[in-house]
Amino acid sequence: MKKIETGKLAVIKNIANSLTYLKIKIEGNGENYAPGNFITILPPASSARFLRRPFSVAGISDGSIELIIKSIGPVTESLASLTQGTEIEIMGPLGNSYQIPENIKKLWMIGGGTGIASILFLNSLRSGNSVCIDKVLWAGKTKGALPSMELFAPQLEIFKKNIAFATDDGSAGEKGRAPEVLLQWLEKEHNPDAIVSCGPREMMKEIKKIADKRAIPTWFSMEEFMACGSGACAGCAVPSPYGSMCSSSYLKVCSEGPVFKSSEVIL
Amino acid sequence: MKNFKPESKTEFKAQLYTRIGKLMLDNPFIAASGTCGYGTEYADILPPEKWGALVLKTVTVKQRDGNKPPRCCETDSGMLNSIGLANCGIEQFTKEKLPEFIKKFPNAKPVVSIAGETTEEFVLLTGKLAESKGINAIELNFSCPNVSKGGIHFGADTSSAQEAVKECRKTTQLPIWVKISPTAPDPVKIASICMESGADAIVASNTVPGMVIDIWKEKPILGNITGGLSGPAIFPISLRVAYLIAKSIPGIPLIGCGGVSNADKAIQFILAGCSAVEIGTAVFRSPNILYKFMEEIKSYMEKMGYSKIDDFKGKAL
Repeated sequence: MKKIETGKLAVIKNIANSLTYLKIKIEGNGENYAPGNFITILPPASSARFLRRPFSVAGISDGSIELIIKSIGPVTESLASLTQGTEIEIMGPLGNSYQIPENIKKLWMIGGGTGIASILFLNSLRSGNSVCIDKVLWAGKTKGALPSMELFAPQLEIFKKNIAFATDDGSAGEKGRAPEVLLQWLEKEHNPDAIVSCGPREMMKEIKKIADKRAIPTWFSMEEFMACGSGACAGCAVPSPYGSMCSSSYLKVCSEGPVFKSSEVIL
Repeated sequence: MKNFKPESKTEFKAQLYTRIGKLMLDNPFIAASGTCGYGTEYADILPPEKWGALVLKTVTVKQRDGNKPPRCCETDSGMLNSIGLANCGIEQFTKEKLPEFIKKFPNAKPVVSIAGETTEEFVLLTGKLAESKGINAIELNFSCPNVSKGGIHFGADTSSAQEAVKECRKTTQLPIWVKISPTAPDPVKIASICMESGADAIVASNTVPGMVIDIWKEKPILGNITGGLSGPAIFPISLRVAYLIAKSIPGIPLIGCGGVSNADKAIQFILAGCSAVEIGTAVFRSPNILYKFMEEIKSYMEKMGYSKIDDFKGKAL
């Protein structure tokens, strides 16, 4: 059940060029949040913006919601400049969550940019399960777009050891774009049982092609402009081969997603 | 911003009930069509029966998929949308969506918004709704800017507006509201013709057509290129339309709509002759904003010594 509440900014940390980690203390312990869920934030007054903005939950710890946001406009920029203790109005949990079947022991999770957020949450829950042999890829354009693990992993619980990095120019981690690194992994290892991915549409499109060719079950977490975040406005439509009861060719990212099976969406 | 809870510490004497034609509402705040879905989407946040009424998402004869994404974006002091009347169609609406809502929230006051491409479609829709139970009024959407047929084109032409209202009137006993466009060449004339043809109230008005371009992609942001502008940016435009109508047609049952982002704006609409206001984009920002509106309007009424909405309705005319 979603609710609107005023949280308090407990931690704010710049973790890379234009990437900010936020930890917002909420009422209760956040046990109703699952990986894939998102929240919407009322824009800080300093942003002079009006509509709530959606952000994937990157983790829940100490009764707080963790977020990783990229400064791309007035709202994200003003969020990134907030100070500890600031009150933030949030609405959540919103959207569906990753429903990974129990027989999936080897899951590869591929995040492009801030698309990593929901994957970090999923990974931190699965990392406690000793039978899982998961891998995470966090891809960015250059070194500056990714956080330094040495600096942040010891401090931030969501950064687990199984996270690998890749950059387009090779300035950090493996060299190559996310789909290229996926192909390299597939050459070296047996196919994973499944893939989850979130990031730029083009990246996911290529990953879908690779996964479909090898019949690897895949889930995507989608992003789209949205106004209500609750399924009311139909503003966040994503093309689908069969749609839903109300639409034969679109699904709503906010309420029917954001997590979709690969076959449900046209990327 | 603090959350506004239903429990108020202060007891006000002010009563918020209002009358639109023959329909009585507990308060003058109505959720605008397209912003409250089929009524249930925000129920966790705000019980739908708290609204004076809710105008459910516009329904058409056949299911509509809606326009190509992206369908919405923020602009300075407002938002653009080109949803394109995506909806499940009248069959599923009357068989599932509406009964579901009424069963779950028997005390809520649903109003059904309809859009046809022709008079025949409006009549068909009205006929279907006349067979349904629990509807408080029908809102004819003569003002959607995001469809190629019907919509805004309907409201711009007095003869088609006249014909559609007349024919719908013959089909139903339910109150008929007509939602007109702020861009209608002569909104007063349209309002007057609709009332003469049997409408019970005018909703003034709807979104204002507009567009934005992404300078880096060098193309329009919306998939449909143009959309309807809503939010604080359009308030003075909507208020003018309502004011002109109220001034020219004394006593007309009128509902203000467009850019009501706080109680101050709602009060302005009432002072301009409206019995109620529809709230849309502000709900996206704060789905529980109704509580704040109720507190603020009561506080205004107490300060001004008003005990009911009628005491200040039309005072600025």
